[in-house]
Amino acid sequence: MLGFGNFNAQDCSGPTRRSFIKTAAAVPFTIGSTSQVLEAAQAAQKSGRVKSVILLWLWGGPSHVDTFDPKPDAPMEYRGPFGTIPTRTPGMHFTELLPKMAARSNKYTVIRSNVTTNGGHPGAGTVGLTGFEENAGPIQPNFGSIVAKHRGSAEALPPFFYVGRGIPRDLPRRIEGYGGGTLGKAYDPFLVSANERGQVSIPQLDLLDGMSPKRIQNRKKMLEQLDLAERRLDAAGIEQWHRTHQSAYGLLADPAARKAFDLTQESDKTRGKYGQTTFGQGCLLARRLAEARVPYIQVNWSEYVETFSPNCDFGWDTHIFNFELLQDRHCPILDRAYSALIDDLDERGLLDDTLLLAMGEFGRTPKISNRAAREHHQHCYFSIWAGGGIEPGRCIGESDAKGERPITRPITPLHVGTTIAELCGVGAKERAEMKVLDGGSVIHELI
Amino acid sequence: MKITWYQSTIFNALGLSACLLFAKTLNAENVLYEEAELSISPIEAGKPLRLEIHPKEFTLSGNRQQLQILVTAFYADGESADLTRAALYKVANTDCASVNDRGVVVPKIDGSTTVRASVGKLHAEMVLDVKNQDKPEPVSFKFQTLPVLSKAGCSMGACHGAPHGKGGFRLSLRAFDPVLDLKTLVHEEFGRRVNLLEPERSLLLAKPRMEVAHEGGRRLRKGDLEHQLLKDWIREGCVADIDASACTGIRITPGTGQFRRLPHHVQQFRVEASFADGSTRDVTHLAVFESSDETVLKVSRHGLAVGVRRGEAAVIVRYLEHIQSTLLSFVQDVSGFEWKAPNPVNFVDSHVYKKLRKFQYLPSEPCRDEEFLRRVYLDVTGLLPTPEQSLRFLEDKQSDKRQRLIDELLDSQNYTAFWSQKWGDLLKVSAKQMGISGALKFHNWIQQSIVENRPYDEFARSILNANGSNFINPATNFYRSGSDTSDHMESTTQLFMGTRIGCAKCHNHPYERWTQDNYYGLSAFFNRINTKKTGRKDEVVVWMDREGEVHHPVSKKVVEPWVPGGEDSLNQKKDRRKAFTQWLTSQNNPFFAKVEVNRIWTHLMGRGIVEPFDDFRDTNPPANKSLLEALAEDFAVNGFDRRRTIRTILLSNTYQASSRANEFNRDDKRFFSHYPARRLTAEQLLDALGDLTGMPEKFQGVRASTRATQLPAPDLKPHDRGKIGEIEFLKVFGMPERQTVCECERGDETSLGQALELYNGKTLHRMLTHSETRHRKLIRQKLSDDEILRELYLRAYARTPDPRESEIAKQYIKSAENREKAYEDLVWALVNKDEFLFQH
Repeated sequence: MLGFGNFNAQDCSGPTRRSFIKTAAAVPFTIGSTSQVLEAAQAAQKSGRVKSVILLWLWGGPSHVDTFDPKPDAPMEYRGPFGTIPTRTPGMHFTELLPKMAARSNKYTVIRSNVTTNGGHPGAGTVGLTGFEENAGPIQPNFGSIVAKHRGSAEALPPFFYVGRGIPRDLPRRIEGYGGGTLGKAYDPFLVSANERGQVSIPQLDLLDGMSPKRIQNRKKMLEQLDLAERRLDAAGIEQWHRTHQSAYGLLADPAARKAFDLTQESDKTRGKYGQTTFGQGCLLARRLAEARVPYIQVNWSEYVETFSPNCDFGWDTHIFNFELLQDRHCPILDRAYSALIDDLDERGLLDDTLLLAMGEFGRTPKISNRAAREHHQHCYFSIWAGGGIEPGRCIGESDAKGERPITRPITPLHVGTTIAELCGVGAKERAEMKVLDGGSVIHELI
Repeated sequence: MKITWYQSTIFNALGLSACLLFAKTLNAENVLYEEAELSISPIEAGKPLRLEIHPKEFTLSGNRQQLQILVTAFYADGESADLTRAALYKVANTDCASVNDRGVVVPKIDGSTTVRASVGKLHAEMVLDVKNQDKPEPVSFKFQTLPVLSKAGCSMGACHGAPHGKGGFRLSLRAFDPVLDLKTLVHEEFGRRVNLLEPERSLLLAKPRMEVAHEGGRRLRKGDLEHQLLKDWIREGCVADIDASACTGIRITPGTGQFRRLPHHVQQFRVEASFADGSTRDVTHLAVFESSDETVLKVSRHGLAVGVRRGEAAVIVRYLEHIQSTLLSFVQDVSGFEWKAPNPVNFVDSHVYKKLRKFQYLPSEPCRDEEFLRRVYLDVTGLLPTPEQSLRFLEDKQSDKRQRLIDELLDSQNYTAFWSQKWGDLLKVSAKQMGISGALKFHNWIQQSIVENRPYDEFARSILNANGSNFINPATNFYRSGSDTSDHMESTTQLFMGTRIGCAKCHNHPYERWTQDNYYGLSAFFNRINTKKTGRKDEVVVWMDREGEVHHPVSKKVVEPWVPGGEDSLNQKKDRRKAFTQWLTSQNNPFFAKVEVNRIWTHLMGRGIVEPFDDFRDTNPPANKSLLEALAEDFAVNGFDRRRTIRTILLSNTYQASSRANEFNRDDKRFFSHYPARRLTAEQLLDALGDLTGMPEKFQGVRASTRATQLPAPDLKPHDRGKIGEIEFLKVFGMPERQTVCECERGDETSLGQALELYNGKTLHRMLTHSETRHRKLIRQKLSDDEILRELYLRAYARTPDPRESEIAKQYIKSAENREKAYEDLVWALVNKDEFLFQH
């Protein structure tokens, strides 16, 4: 494999400008002329440019070896049955299950050296979404809650969305790191979900028994009448409260305010491109929310997703039928939805200030199990980064010959979260003041 | 499009306005003002009586030294003004030195001369000695190069001073590690940052000049002194004087407490540094200047403070690791302003009124009885008054009825329960931290101390010195809620000293004088605490080990216990904490009493005298220093009696002022001219809803009558298996999880989730629609609309409806098909009015 992108950074400070230029000079055809290199360096002003983050959270732990980090030369009990195909990134191959994504690899960058510290779903979920273990002290906030707090939350739409409940069937409980943590429940995600037909449900906006938009309008009208000028308050923050109150009213009583959630506004062709799956329609919903400039959208590979048999889906947690499921369901669904989403963001000019990130909580054992599948593997997995100032078309980090461990600098969830925060304008100082992502550093290779 | 540095700064500042902590400091740290960017009007000299020049005499030794002169004018009406920028300067011997129009003296050749400043016909003179000009003086790495990097912003926390630097270039935060910085600047990356042959083309200069792309934007210009110093330092071969005589401190002139009456809107500052060898130097041109409140004043990079509007702010000056601040205020004659205020009830009012009068704000009129009633119930008991309680008070015609109500409430059980909850928040009383039995026992212990009105010093000592089983001595649970020495120490300093010292764990505190040495010196008191679980569920024993030392992370040396200003040996053989608590709770401890009275003030007044209330530092000045000191002194000399302080504040006109602003205090958010209305806390709101609808919320794990404002811990429910999307009312409205000792954990921010909860939430919906809800019961009693409305209004607002309100409500009910549902809508509207949701 061509070495570009495989920086073996010496310390936490990441690659230096010098190493960047050196590497670039060694592979002039992949990166272009020196002036382009300088431009890239000049474009380093990236902190704070991201207006929306879309995290495609691939619950369950997708097998890296069968998808984005194939090992065709590994022994038979490792490599699996799938062939590999080239991508548009020189030297980078995927398995044959992801042809659409392979054809678009110039739009994103793949990290193959992710590691985490926990081997179970709830624990690794919390680590993956917060950067910290559940029992290491106070529960830390989800990356989305950090961005939400930074951006403020009094707009017409909540700042942090969960698209899909996103708890695999075998998770006995809600993970601790799902939401606000130390920042408080005010920064918990706002839940919406779309089914495979593109029907959106928003539990908090489902009117309770006996309520109707009409009745809410009546109540609001009476409230306005009773709000006699003489009794008005002078208070700090009261206008913000009134705006928020008005937004809630709009969402409940005014169909126009729900436009961002309305997938029927999209053409059949567009909806078809994403695939008639809950994940595909969830991705489309995420795009609409990003267009509405929601700061953080986490699309969960959802509960009961694309059931293999009814009520028996485990997300990407393929302890059995790994190869069958990946080939017939998971990879085609992901390949299609991801490709449609990145094309769409690109065509609409959103990719410049929208960060699109796809990853799970860990990878799967490169060695095939005695159930002819793969188990949990925390020591090596992948993440895919696009938009928001990420230098695309590259592959960063490298795993060993069997895909068991990274041979380059391991990238931890704390690195991931810090990078997201930094791109969203939550710098070291802001992080220190919020007391979040302590000790984290940015994945400089990406920028 | 490329975002310029200024734009990105503004963006950051806006984004952070939601972030409570340090928001102001942040703005300040990022901004390096050129004077052209500040709105400086022509300085009006007026008709001064005399001029004063400072310093009277000075020696400039060496060709790199400078001197900032200050010229002050004094007027017939007793006021004074800074005329440094308006004066004309004349050097007697022009070969010797020159003075620019900023009043900066630059030496030329050796000699002695005078510098004369004139304004109109007035003069003032100083004597200047110039020495050692023929001896070339190399740039000092420690005292010039590093301060310049700090002044230009390179080594600040948001840039290369971040823990991992920026763009692969890391400087120590505000130059606290010169040895590392030298290596980074000169040797790292094969020395590519400095170009000894062509100093001007060094990357270190080309980047901040923006000749090579620089994420941090333009920080230096070729003509700047800062640029010149860096260039010369490189040209001279990047020599480091790491061992040079240390800088021992800085002094700012003029000192604290200055005030200027607009249109006098500028004040030049001068900074002098003293060194261990006894020498002093003017470092005004090397110091970093910040303002604690940029809406009041901004400071240019040359140390000129420019007033923006009336008010006061600290000017914070930093040179190397030394930070000093000085308070400067601007007053203004407001047209039509005429002071009038009720007679002060006690010293609270005297101090508040003095401040208001100085800045020409008028206090709001006293609040109405019904406002006082609702306010004082919520503040003291957390609950709304019942109609009987309200009517009894409203119909009372005695003039001392407010005072009697205050005393009655302070004696009630609800006071105990509600104020115990406040301390529970701070002491992290939760099942997660200390087990259910631990949490309940600790809660009872706190309650007992409130019932007894235990002196606050004793309260603090019994917590901090606690030993033994957490079942027998529940105060030991304090040490269960932290995980290690650092945790114990940081919690203690934040709780009892109002100091957020955490930053100093890894580097000297960026906003405060706390150093890393101080951090570990304080940690040494808590290092020997040990805990062990016993066989009983949730039981833990706490004791002190005989040995165990704290080691400094850099020097690896043992750090002795240390307290600010402490001289005696603090290393007690038996229990080191004793020495600490003795120092902490002594009468003249600078933090202890102030932090607690400020906390009480914040609970009652919605905003601290120091705000945020547990963030005491010189760079965050109190809104009213004399008030804070008077409250603290009253507290300390009266046996740290918390109830007394609460009562004093409640009795004051200041507390009892209306929340409605008047023409002359509308833009005051700082000096307590009117009562700041604020939203009910999560617990107050839930209880208020329960009382209004007659459907009080029931909680698991406590007696049935327990209210939300009395819950011992936020997590007594069995483990929450809830799914995302299920809403807990209290949590959405900001009830803290009690994971940190920071009161900031209690969210007071507005969120869409809260508004949705009021429109369409299960909790309120159930209360409104239940068959036993209050309005249904009243309807079943065959009461008239007027009678029902009266009851509901008394419950909701502690007042009766006025005729217009009755009219609107009755109209709505009459025109509705279903009377019960119409009342549901009415109660919903009562709840959603600001008058209900806010304490006012």
